[in-house]
Order: sequence, then C-alpha cells, then structure tokens
Amino acid sequence: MIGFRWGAAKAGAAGWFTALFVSVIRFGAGFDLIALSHVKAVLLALDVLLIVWSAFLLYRVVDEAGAIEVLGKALPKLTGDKAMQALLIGWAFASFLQGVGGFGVPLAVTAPLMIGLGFSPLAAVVIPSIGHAWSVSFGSLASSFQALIASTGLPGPLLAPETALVLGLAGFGCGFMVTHAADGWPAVRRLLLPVLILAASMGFTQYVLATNGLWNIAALGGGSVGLVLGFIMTRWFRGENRGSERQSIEWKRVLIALAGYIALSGIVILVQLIEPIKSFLGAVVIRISFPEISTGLGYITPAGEGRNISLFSHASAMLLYATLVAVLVYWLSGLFQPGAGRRIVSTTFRRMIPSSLGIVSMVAMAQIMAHAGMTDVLAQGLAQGFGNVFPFVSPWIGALGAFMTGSNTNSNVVFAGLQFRTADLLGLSATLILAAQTAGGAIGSVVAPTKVIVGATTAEMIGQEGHIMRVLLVYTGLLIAAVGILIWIMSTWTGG
Amino acid sequence: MDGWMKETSDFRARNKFPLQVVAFSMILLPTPLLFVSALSGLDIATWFLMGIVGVGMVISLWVS
Repeated sequence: MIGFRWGAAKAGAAGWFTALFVSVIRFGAGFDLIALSHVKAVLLALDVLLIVWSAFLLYRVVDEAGAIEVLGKALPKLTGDKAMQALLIGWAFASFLQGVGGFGVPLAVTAPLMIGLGFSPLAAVVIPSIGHAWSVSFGSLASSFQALIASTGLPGPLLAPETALVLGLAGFGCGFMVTHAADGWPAVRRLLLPVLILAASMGFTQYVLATNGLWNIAALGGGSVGLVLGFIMTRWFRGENRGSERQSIEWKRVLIALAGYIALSGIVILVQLIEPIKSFLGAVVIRISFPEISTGLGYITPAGEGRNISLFSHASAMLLYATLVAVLVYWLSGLFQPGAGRRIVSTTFRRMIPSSLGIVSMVAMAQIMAHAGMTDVLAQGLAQGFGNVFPFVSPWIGALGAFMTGSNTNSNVVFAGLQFRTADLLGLSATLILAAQTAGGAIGSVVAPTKVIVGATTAEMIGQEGHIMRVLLVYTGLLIAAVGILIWIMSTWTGG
Repeated sequence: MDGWMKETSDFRARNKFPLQVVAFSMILLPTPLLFVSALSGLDIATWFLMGIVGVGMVISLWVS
C-alpha cells in the first residue's frame, strides 16, 4: 500500500494471494484449511461489515435530511474565540461525527466549516484529524472495537476497560494538540481548564458506556457530552461579542436534526440494559461450529465456534431500527427532498462496496495466516526481537497497520491476532497490549494517506498532501509515543 | 497492442463499480456452499468454489 500507493481492496487481494501461496508452499496448508479459514473470515468480516454498512446508511439518512448542515451552521455561532471554536468543532463535533459515521466524515464535514470561520486550510485539516483520533476505536458504532473482539475471540467486556482507559487518556493529548494547532501555546495556557474538563468528561463517558456493554455508542456518547459541555463553556469563552448570533440558533431544528442519533442512543440503551428485550431480540443467532484444522507441518487450530452473529440484537440491527425512526421523523418534518431515497441507497452502496472489499480480503488474508501458523511465527520473531520493550512498540504496530490500510478496523483485523499471540509469548497482559494495538491504530488512521486525501480534497489542498502529512506526523508521532510510554508503565505496574 | 490495453483500461474505468460488486459477490456468496463442501470432503466442489473466490480476488485486484 505504501510502495505502490494501492488502496485497501487492491492490497488486500494481493495480500490474500501472497498468504495463500506462502501458506501452501512453506507452511503445509491444505485445501480444506484454506476453504474453512475463508468461511471463518467471511463470518468475521460480516460481523464488522454489517455495522459499517448500517452506520453509513444512518449517516446518509441524517445528512440527506440536511441535519448535519443544521448542526454545522449552529456550532460556529456559539463563540468567536478561535481556539474555542477549534475545540468545539475540531474536537467535540469531529468526535461526535466519528461516533456516528467515521470513514473520513469528521474531516469532510468540519474542514469546510473551519475554513469558513477563517482557519487556514492546513489548520482546517490538521485540527479535526487530531481531534477525532481518540474516538476512532469506539467510533462508527465501535466497528474497530468489534474487529478487535472478532479477531481475538476475547469477549468485549474483558477488552473494554483498558481500551477505553488508554483512549480516554489519549483524548487529553488530542485536546491540547487541537488547541496548539489552532492558536499556539498562548491558547493552550488560556484554555487549559476547558481542555481538561472536556477531555475528562468525554473520556469518562466513553469509559462508562464501553465498560457497561454499550461500546457501540461509547464514542457517540463521549462526543455528545463534549458538545453539550463545550456549548456551556462558550458562555465564558465567547471571544468577540456573539450574543446576537447565539440568539439566532434554531434549537428546534437542531433537536430534529439529532433525532436519528437520539433514537439510536435510546434503542441501544434499551436493548443492552433491559434484560427481557435483550433476550427476546437475541433469540436468533447465526452460530457455526468448525472442526479442528491442522497444517502438514502439524500446526493445529482447535475445533470451536466461529463468530456468533445475533440477528436482531446485533449493533447493525439497532442501527437499522434507529434509521427507520429517523426516516419517519424527517419524513413527517418534510425534510427530505425528492429523490432522497434513491440518493441515500446509491451513495451507501457506492461508498461501502470498495471499503467492504478491502475489509473482507484483509480478514481473509489474516485468517489464512492465523490458521497456517504464519502469525505465530511472526509473533515469536517479535517476542524475541523486542522482549520487554514490546509494550512500547505495540501501539506503533497498530499505527503502522492503520497507516498502511487506512483504517483502525483493518489494522485490528490484520494485527490484533499477532499482538495477542506476542503478548501471550511474553507473558504480558493481552488486554493491555490489545488496547495499545487499537489505540495506536486509532491515532495512526488519521495520518493514513486515504484520510489525508479526503482532508486535502475538502480543504482544496490537492497536491499538498505531503505537507499535511508532515504536520500530522509530528502530532500523531508524539501521541503514539505517549501511548507507548503509558502502556509500558501500565505493563510494568501491573507486572505483565 | 496499445489500443487493446487502452480499451481494457477504459472498460475498467467505466465499469469500476459494477465490477467491484461482482468481485464482492464472488468472494462472499460461495461461503455457505464452501463450508458444506469442505466439511463433506467434496474436493472438486471445494476447488470449484475456491476458484470462484479466487476470481473475485483477481477482479478486486484488477479493478480497485
């Protein structure tokens, strides 16, 4: 992907063929192993793709009703303080958008808004890119976190606490970096308190939701709390007088605009927390048992179930329920233009098919590697090469995966199994190392060429992608190094 | 030869999305049958279905 500048779909297919040939020729993989690992891969990919597709469908419904535009117009009226605008739009709003949409949406929506407010095109790309990094793993209805669960087979409740903690702490770095990128060190000193309050509130909300089984709305919840608190704080950080503009915000329209996401939050809370509803909707499950698979060299994958998919209580089902509610509310409010339905379906298919191809081919590649024992060999190499330094290296591997594949989800699909096995070999806490993987992937994804291109296109900086990337690399490099040190300390502190 | 390559390239550019849909379907849809054939030891069927998946991957590689 880096050398040839290929997209995820092309590189994923090339990786699949490479893994196929190497596994057969060097690792003794048989044809049944290849076939069954493909079936497992499709099941794992479906678990993620269903969420990705339905999250984007809901976003398109909301966008087609003009709701994102309403929110985007309301936010800048709240304050004239440039750094506070950056915090509100480039941090809280971008994180909220990552919570609901992902796929470059935070950048595509907020960069033009910031340019309109007088930010330089470079700042308009850099600020939201860094701002939403902490919310990527639990964003897009937690599709990246779901990929972490699917790739390792570990339960979500086990993975959620450390993942949410590490990402929450990274959020502080994101806030300070956004403030610095907006108005330099004086702004960092001036807005120290709002940054600390917002970071603590957003991170805490994400942590509480994620650790209580509500990880699908953890980033959405964190971003929403950030927006509400940011709105309150703009009363004290107004900059130039904006009192009259503040009065002109149509709050009823803003509330209708948020209907889809309010419905989603309500549905997720109902389904996850009310036991009779949860068990009723969770009654229909796709569950497939796989036999033991072994290679010609004797590497054995034990028999077991593939990824279980609960049809009516899966995150994608909840997204579809929320989409139906949103369609009803917007339709009754007369917000849809003629041809809206066709445009929603068409853009959803056109955006999702290429990224789905990338995800499914990379999952298939990773599954062949895992079943043939290739991941195990790589893990042994990493364990021997890095030893005790591995906790510091771990987030860089996640970041590299996201940089290569353009997505935190893909990085987790490709590298989570490897990190899990390496942690196991070194006797380190697997949940901590996997938190490092996904946190590194989240931060690394914002500097991936695919996202930088989205930013450059929306900010009319085409041809200057290298310049954007250089600035982003400084901020993200510092953030990943900080996460690495944090993981190292936590690993030493917990004794493994 | 150049003309043929240009025509192929134009075809690919014109039909990128439908070809991606075809590739995606070829990778995904044989999966249930693949599971049954692999478990039942139906080698020829498994080869054939993996062939479909492989062609899907080739199309993805070519068109993306």
